Amino acid sequence: MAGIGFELKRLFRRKGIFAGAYAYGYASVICCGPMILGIVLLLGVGFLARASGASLHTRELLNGMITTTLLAGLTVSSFLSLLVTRYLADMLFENKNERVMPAFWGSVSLLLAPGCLLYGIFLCFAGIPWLYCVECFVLFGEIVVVWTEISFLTAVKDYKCIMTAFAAALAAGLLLGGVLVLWLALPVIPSLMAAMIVSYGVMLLWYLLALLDYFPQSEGSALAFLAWADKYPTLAWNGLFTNMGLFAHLVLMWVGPQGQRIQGLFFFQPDYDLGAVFGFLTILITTVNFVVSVEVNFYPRYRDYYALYNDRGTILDIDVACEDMCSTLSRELLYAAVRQAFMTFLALVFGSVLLKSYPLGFTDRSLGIFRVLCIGYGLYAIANMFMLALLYFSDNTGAFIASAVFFAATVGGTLASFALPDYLYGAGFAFGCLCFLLVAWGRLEYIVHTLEYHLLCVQPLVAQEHGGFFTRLSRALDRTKQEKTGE
Amino acid sequence: MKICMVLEGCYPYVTGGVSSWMHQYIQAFPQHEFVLWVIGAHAADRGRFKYKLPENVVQVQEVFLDDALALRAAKGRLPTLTDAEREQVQKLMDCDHPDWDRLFAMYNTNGIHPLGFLMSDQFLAVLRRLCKRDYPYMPFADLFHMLRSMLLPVLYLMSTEAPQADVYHAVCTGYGGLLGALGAWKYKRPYLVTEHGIYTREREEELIRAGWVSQTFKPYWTKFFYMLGDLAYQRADGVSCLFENARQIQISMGCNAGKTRVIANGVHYERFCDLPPKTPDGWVDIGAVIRIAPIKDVKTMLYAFQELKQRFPQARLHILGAVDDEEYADECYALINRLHIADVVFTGVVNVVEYFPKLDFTILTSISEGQPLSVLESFAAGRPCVTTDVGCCRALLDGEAGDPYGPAGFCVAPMDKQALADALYRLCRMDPAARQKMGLAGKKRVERYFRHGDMIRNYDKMYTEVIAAWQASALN
Repeated sequence: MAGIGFELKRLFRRKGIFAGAYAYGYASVICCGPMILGIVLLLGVGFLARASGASLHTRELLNGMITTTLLAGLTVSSFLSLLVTRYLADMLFENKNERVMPAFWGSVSLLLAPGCLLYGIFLCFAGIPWLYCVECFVLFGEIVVVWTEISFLTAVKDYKCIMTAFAAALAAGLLLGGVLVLWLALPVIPSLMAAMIVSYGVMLLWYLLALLDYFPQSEGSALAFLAWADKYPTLAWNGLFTNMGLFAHLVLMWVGPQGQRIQGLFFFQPDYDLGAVFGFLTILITTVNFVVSVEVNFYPRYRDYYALYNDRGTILDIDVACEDMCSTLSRELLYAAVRQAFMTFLALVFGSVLLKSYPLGFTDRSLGIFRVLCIGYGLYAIANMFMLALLYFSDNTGAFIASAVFFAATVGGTLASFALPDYLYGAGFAFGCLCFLLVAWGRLEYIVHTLEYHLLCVQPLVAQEHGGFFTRLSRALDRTKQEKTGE
Repeated sequence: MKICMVLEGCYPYVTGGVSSWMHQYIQAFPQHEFVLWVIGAHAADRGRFKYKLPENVVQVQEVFLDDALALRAAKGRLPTLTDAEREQVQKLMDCDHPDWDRLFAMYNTNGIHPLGFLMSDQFLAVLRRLCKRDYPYMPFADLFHMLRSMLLPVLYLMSTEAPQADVYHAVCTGYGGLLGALGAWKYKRPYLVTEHGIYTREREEELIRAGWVSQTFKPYWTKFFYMLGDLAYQRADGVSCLFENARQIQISMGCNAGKTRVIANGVHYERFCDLPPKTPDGWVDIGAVIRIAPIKDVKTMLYAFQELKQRFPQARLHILGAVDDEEYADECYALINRLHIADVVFTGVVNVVEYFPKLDFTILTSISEGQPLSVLESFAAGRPCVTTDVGCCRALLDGEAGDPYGPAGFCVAPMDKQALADALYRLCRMDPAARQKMGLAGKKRVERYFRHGDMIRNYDKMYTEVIAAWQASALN
């Protein structure tokens, strides 16, 4: 008799999506890096401006122009950075290297078009000379491209290239700036802006050549990566919220009660900005350290654990690997948190003394803000590590919730902090970071204890197509491209 | 009386032995109403019946396995299982005699969502416990996915609405047997099982050959089908099969001997008995009344026929029946082209009564059979038959102990091309009178033992006896 028992083979022949679930993202480690690079360049240019004897207003305006452009560029590029990183990781995992460069051009175009429009509109009403506007505009475009390039290079883990090019660009920019303002004594703002443009231009070309070297072949539509927006809808917002959480308090302070208008739409809050720049530097070592320790200690165990699900691992093997991976992660997080706490402690105790003894412009008020922001950035650094771990475990939703809470709490806290004495102005940001930490920590605890459930049970029994708007769009574009190629 | 026939993968979606048996069976009981509770593989087949349903079919309830795949996880949290429920789920996962009453109550009455359960942490927890205890060295993720695939149809079937009837009669064990047991449990009615082949054994044989399941998990799948077989045997009030060997197998698989009985198939002898022998035309025409499907092993038939053609060029092969498996049919056509086999005719579905006068004898090369109606019809028409030694084919050809009529054809091992070609050659070369003598033996055998009326009377008797016994036990 026929029976239909064996129709099952047809029903289950299609493999579950489990196979694809291994392409875990090389989670973003770029949240801190670009800002630190930006700060170093900013400080160098500030030093040149001061050395050239420029007026206080000129220096403040230059600083305001560069800072605003930098923050705008970073915010715009952060929108797609995690998404393209994930797309890239998946493509590299599937050995579809030819898909990378189209995604690069696509994401850059997609960011530049609305970004340039919005920033252009801002500049039109910024109240600065047109030459400055053009320079800001060009710099903005370069920053968007450079940070996108960094996202791609981070995915292929070429940190060395990133750092070498940055050092070269820094040297080229500062050298040119020095020649223009110190030797040729040209006007400070256009000259140093030109130096910034050249500096970022060097980085842009360097990184582009490196990318083309990595990925010489191109195939597929430039917007194919958009299908990942349907697959991982929260990733784009995650990057955006994290960045906005980092910057929102600065912008709110500029336009807040203690903010000062430099010229037109350029504001600053000298005490707060100074505290923020140096407060941010206190997380540099632990962040880099954590990324390295994750690579060296955690990642191999993580990979072993996940591989067991594909390589016929028994429950005994899996439990041992899980225990090993989780204890390594806990240990690394604990070490990193202790290191950060120690760094923050050092900054609080010795930073105040050291910063006041150099001519950096620190006052009692800015030192107070610096101390509070040190605590905030310290909490942020630890929270960011937890979020990174969430991304490793593919808990994009959890990471998104944490980053959204971070942004909302920072904005709310900063607005509320206006009621506090001015030396406590960083408390709003610190509150936001604390919320970020608590949510990310709680979520990580939950995920670690239900890892297998999230890995196995929540997967549907048969692969389901993600047929959202972006998937359809990218397919339509791919088809169009193929038809054109066919012609 | 309203009889719910539970069918799996046959009537009314495909033509073939069991389907035509079912069709005639329903027509033979005009005094009863029939509910068809049918399991199909693909929802696309919904309502696409190959038969015009008899008037006494009052309801058709269709269930499709791929509907289980289209399920969406239920919103809201799954109710927490009690310890007793968890224990039974674990037994189900381990294919170890679960308490089906409790499982039916969980998934049918209490409405636990099948997919919700398979995607829950409770499922994972039970699996982990089972795995640590019994399967510590089995690939865990593979076991997880395999078990979900295995359990989904079962849980889905348990959650479906059962049609109401006076008696539930499953025409197999397996998934059909499960539904029959569910209906009988739900409405507290008697339950009968009729097996044309031994479902569990057929699945086991298929599993041995199957490429889609890894060697590690083949024993698990086999155990699963044995569990479903056991469910049907334990819960049925009466179990019938077509021949004595099958009954012995049922008993050896745990069925209480007191429940079992043999009811042989029957054909409408009078429709075939007056058909004349083929008028000699210089050809020997061989007929194969089959649907084109891998289980019928048409390829071996074609290889054997090619061999026969080299030795006996005047042979022609007529393959009468519908295409059941397009892919397999295409492979068969390609084989004919590749081997340049001449004189093979695919007729599609035909009226066999009208076609038999064109045939000298018939052939059946199935890998698995019960008591094939096509052989009985061939005998009724006075045509001898070459068959493979499956089901009770040998007993049909040679007769059981005490049968005085002699051989009605040749029986060879399944998939043995050479033996098949030899048997065909022997019948082709035989003097037409000798061939007709063999056909006559078959004809007399059918006339005596395999009449449709006898079969229907026996089933009617089974209903009466089983229902009376069930009522008596219910009163006690």
